[in-house]
Amino acid sequence: MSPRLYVETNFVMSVAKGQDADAELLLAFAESQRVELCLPEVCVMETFKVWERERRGTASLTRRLQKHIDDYKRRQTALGPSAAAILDNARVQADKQMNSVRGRAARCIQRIATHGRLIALSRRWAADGAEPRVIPSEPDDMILASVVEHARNEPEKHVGFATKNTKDFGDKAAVLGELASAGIKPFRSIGSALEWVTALSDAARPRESQ
Amino acid sequence: MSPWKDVGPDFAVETPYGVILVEVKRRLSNADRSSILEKLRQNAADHGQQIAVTLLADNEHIWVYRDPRMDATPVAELPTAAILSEYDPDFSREVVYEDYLLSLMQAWLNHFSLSTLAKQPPGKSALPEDVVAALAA
Repeated sequence: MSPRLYVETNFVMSVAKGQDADAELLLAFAESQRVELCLPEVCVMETFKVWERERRGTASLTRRLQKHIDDYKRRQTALGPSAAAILDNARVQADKQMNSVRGRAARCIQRIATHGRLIALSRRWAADGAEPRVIPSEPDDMILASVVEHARNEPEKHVGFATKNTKDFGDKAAVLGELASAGIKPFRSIGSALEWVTALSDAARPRESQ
Repeated sequence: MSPWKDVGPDFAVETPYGVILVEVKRRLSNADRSSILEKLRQNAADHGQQIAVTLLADNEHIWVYRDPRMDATPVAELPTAAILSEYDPDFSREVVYEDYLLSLMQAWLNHFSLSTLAKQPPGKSALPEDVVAALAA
């Protein structure tokens, strides 16, 4: 059985922004069934919330650029048409970047849904009043609870949780204790999770070929 | 406040010829276009606004209309990819979401206004002179 690795919103955004080649490799491993990637469904919504927040930041920049272009159109200011065209190209490039991030985020979620699993919100977390128990931030607590509940309900021999969000998930004893209680090995980077998956996958190969 | 703010064209630009309205969707059926034009026509009537040009666009086509009170038939129907690839050569290779489609439509409109540039906006020759004049205003 391939190892199971839980990932969260930062994984999807890393792939979407092309920031982490290791995350791309893990997706390829999931497609060849060397790892079972699991993403809490709440992270799908969170991904688009993060994207929307970043898009608003970009929109603020592109509105300012368009204002300069409009000024040129109205008053033929010192900004020449060539300079206005350069500004417009910059505006389009900024919007193109956000469009590409959204497209890659959607494809990443699609690949996990197809070759891995999307896991449901923890019923216990919701039934307990939807209040943070381990991590003060609701979304992060919700993600942790969903991962832990899923691992308890469907135990596997090798289970990990990779997150770059060390601020909230990092070294906090309560978080580590919660993960350990469900037999989940924590990873603070996608790279270290990839090494773990690779080692387990390599170790399993000779036995499979016998 | 713009009388178009609550009606929902994705943007409205005032020009001496009247207002230019732009609305984009990833897919626009004939019924969608009729419904949008009717909504814009009604709003123009309610506010005594003159519409110079209405541009409706999806990932396949750009439909160019004069004032929909005068004519609900487009004066031109242009292939979106051929027009907007001028501003993004990857247009046909990537998924283009509505926000970005609108941004590229803005680039096309801006190009008309920067008419002193050596390269003319794609599709310009397919448009009537009065429409070009409004888009360039």
